[in-house]
Order: sequence, then structure tokens, then C-alpha cells
Amino acid sequence: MGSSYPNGQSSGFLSLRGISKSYGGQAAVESLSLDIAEGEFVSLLGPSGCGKTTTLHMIAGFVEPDAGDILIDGVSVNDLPSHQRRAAMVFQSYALFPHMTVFDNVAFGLRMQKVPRAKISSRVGDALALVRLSALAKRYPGELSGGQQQRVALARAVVLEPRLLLLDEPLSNLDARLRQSLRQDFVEIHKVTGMTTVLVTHDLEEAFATSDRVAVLSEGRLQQFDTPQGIYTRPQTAFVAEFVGHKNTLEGSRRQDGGQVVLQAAGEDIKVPEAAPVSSTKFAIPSHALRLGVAPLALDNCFRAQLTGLTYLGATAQFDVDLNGTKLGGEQAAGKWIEGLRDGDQVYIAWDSADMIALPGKAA
Amino acid sequence: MARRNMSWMLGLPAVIFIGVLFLAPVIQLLLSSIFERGSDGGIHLSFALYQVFFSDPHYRVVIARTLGISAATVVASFVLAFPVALHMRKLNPRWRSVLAIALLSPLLTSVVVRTLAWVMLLGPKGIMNNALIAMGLDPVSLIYNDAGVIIGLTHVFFGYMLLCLMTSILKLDERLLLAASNLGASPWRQAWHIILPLSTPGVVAGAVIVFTMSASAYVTPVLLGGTKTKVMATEIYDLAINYLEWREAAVVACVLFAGVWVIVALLSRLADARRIAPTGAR
Repeated sequence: MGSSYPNGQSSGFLSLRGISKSYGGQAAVESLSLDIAEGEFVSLLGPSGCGKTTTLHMIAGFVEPDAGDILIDGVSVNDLPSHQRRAAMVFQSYALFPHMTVFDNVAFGLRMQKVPRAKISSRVGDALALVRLSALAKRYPGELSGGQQQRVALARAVVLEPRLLLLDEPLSNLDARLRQSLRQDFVEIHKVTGMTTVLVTHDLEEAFATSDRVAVLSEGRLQQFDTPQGIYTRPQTAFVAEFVGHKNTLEGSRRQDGGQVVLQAAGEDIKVPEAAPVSSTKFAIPSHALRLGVAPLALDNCFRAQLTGLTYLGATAQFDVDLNGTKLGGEQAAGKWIEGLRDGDQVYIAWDSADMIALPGKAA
Repeated sequence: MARRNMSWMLGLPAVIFIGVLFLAPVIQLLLSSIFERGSDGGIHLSFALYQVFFSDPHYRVVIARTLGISAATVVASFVLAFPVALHMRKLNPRWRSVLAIALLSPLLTSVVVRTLAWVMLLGPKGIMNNALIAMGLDPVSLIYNDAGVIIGLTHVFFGYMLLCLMTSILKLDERLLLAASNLGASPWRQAWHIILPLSTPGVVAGAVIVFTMSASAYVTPVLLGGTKTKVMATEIYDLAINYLEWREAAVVACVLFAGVWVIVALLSRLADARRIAPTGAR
């Protein structure tokens, strides 16, 4: 991907070229390369210790890479100090200056740039309006809620009109409800400003909900860089498959049965999608694609199984079944079907072969 | 019925100790400076000694010198300690404690030994002037004047200033500095706009301690100031021990006591005015 440049070289607005960083012999990031297009919203996703924050700090200029190049708009910024990169950062801990008012916090960067006073107040006003905090300009950070503080931090970054907006787990310190609304703010502001944005997160939903593309990292290495749908439906490595939560896995041998590819697994002949790569012998069934019924269901894969667990959640119910020794779990809308069902009952389990996801082999 | 909480009694020994051994003599000192025994044997309230004190130009010089030397010591200690505390942020805990112990070692040395070392170093025939003369330069007088006293006091009290600054500066959140740097602040401007305002409590605590200790220092002004450089502490000693003028000594002591407290109160007010708004919610 990435946009084409006049010189014919395919490159991104932000390019990481084989950057590496290790701490005390321990590799934090290993030859990571990414090309991010101008105006794109990209997430760096992975568990803690995967190198995503180190990567972001290298882009911001807080950490110097041991090897590799970081290019913004085609120009290497390796030797530029943080404040000359025009890559504004929003921190997980907000990092607001506690001795300054909201206004002064947002104005700080502009004052450092010696922007004229009148311009400062109008630009700060615009930035605060963007995050809906105009009324709180005279407050101190300590008087604001966590969500408000993070919006101030966002305004403080956006007001500088940076080339890159870097978000370092900005929602991790907030409760679930606030996280959703602030996440929406990030998306809205990205739409309004068109700023190239890099979000670091360990939360799959957060990454998928906000991003054009997601880079999944594990142990300092890039696992996959793709759209959220690509990551979910075409995981390239076992790590990605596990990270996105593909737990219902079926592995067996393939054979051709007329026009249909069939996987022999869990003691059944399972129809798999025709589009699946020829080599795939391992598949996942997303838990929401699995259907449970007391009578056979009209889906192309339908088998008898034994119910081993049922959890009623109100709108939905989670169920676990045993299919000839293979454990599968799913979730579907709650309804009359639940009544009278108990553990050990024989049920029908079904899914559409088209919903199945081909998984990479162990080697990857 | 709830049992009465008697835990306050645990504080009694300390209260009695301070009250009897510290407050009582101070009050006696104050009283002896304002009451005099008349010729008829009665005791009268009289501020005559204070009038004498404040109208005497000699004492005005002594007051000004004492406050000036103390203020200069505060500034010198701060200027020396602030960069050290900043540097300590970058060290790992082990080197930090090594450096701290090295810099605080003057506090662990006897004040007399330490001060005599300065005499040997800065004296008219001292190491420094010998070196200057050997290089063909004019000798300088850094002893038996105000400069000598300030050098000596700064050496002694620098450690207190450093301790106070360290507590404030070492607990400063590194991410605030990263944020400031990211927003375009050079290291100098980070120090001015972020570190200094946020370490105000440490600066004020250090200034108060160094100021009060400098204003009441005795050994250092005597050994490094010589006979010309009279400060209030040496004046009190002279009046009380050499001239046996106890009431006059009490007057000087009371003026010193009150003056230092007024300045400490002003400094604390300054700290309050610059105090950051409530930082409850994090």
C-alpha cells in the first residue's frame, strides 16, 4: 500500500525503515518497517512488551533507534530533536502541566514557537472548542476529570497543527464508558483535521474501531499490517489469530469432494470456503458465526454435539459444546431456544462455511 | 458512650521538653530585653535599649550585613544545587546515592575543621593566593570579609539546599518533560517553565533552612569573617560574653529572631502564591 510519489518510489508519509531498538541486550523492536499514508489513522496493536510504545517514542524522538531510518514526508528525521519533528504526542498519563491552567497548557507549544499573542488566544480557543472544553479554559488540570484531562492533552497536541498525531494508549486510564466516547472523539477529530494519526493500544476493539489499518506487533516484530477486516478474517500468523481471539479451531486433512473442499476434523466432514488457500489445513469458526439449535439448522455445516455449558447474558447467551471431543464455544441472541436446555443435552451446532477463517500453520 | 481518645498524651513528653528547655529561655530572653530593674528596686517596662539599638548606625550595618550574607548564601546554594539535582534525575539510583553522599559529606564534618580548611585554602598566605602569585597574578582577598563568610556558609549549607531540591525534583514526572520537549521546549525552557515552578516547595524549604541557619551561624563568620565582619550572632556573643551586657545581647537576639521569622513568613507566602491549584484528581 502507501501512496505513489513522483519519483516512482512507493513510500508512505511516515516511513519506518528497519528500525531496531534494544535495551540491555533485550530487543524491544526488531527491524520494523511500516509505510503509513498521509491522513491515515493507524494503530500499533499488541500486548504489553511488544515494542509498540518504544516504536511510538522513536517516532516522537524520545528514543533514538539503534538502527534504521524514520522518514516523515520522505525526509529522515533521525537527527531531529523531538520538538522539530512536528509529531505531537498525547500520553497515557495525560502529562498535563499541573501548575498551568487548561488555556496555558494548550498555549504552551504555541508560546514555545513564539506565535503572536492574539493568534495564540484564537488558536487555543479553536482547539478547546474542538474538544468541547471552551468553558473550562481557566481551570487547572487537577480540577478536571480524567476524560477532560485527556481532551485537554489532545487539544494541546492538535493546536500545533502537527504533521503527525501520536497517541500513546490515551484511553487506558479511563473507564469503559468514557473510553468509548473519547475514542469517538479521536475518530471525529481525525475526520475534521485529516491529521495522520498513530495510535498505540493493546485493545483490539479500540484499534479496529478507530483505524484505517492496524499493525499487529509481537515481541518487537511486525506480525501483520492490514485493514481491521484483513487482520480478523485473514490472520497471517498464529500470533495474530490468537490475538484477535480465534479460539474455535479445527485442524485436519483436506480432500476434494466433487466441487467442494472438505476438511476431515473433529470426526466430521466439514465444508470449508472455496476461496481458502490450498495449503490451509487449520480453520477457525468465529464465535458469533456458530449457531446452536435443538433441531437441525439450514447451514451448510450442521452437526450433532453435546451441550457442555450455557451462560445467559440477557441480550445474548454464550454456549459451549463438545463436537466429538473438540470443544467449541459461541454466542448468539438469547431467545426461547434456551428454555429447557441443560448441560449434557444433545443439540445441533451449525455454521456457514463461508464464515470460516483459514489460519496459518504453526510454522508462522 | 465513646471512650475519650487519650492518644494526645503521647505528645506530652515532647511538648514539655520543648516548652521547658526551649520556649522558656526564649521568653525569658524576650522579657529581659524589655524589662529593667529601676533604681528603686522595682521592675519597669522599657524599650530604651531597642531605641538605642535601632538608632545606632553600627547595628544597622550589622543587621544589613547579616541579612545580605544570608540572602547571598541562599542564592549561591540554589545556583549550585539546582543543576546538581537536575543531573541526579538522569543517574541510576546507585550513582545517585554515591553523588548525594559525596556532596552531603560536608554536613558530616565538624564545622570547625571545615572552616579551618577554608582558611588554609583562601587565606592571605593560603594555597589559592600562593598559586595566583606563582602564576604572576595579584592575590585576592577572599577571607576576612563578606565574600569569605558567604563561601564558607555556602559550603556548609549547600547540602541542605540540595536535599530540599532533590525531594522535589526527583519526584517530578519525566513524562511532563517529554511532553514539554515534544511541544517545542528546549532543555533550558523546560527547566524554566516546568521544573522550576513545580519544584517551588523544595526551593522555598531550602531557602528557609539555609537562610535561618546562615543568619544565626557563629563559627563560620568568626573564623572566615575575622574581626571586621561582624554579624548578629557574633555581636550577641561579644555583648554577652565579653562585655557582660546581657540585656543588650537579648535585644540583638530578639531582633534577629523576629527578623528571621518575618522573612521566613514572607517566603512561605511567596510559595503559597505560586502554589499550584489542587492536584487531587490525577
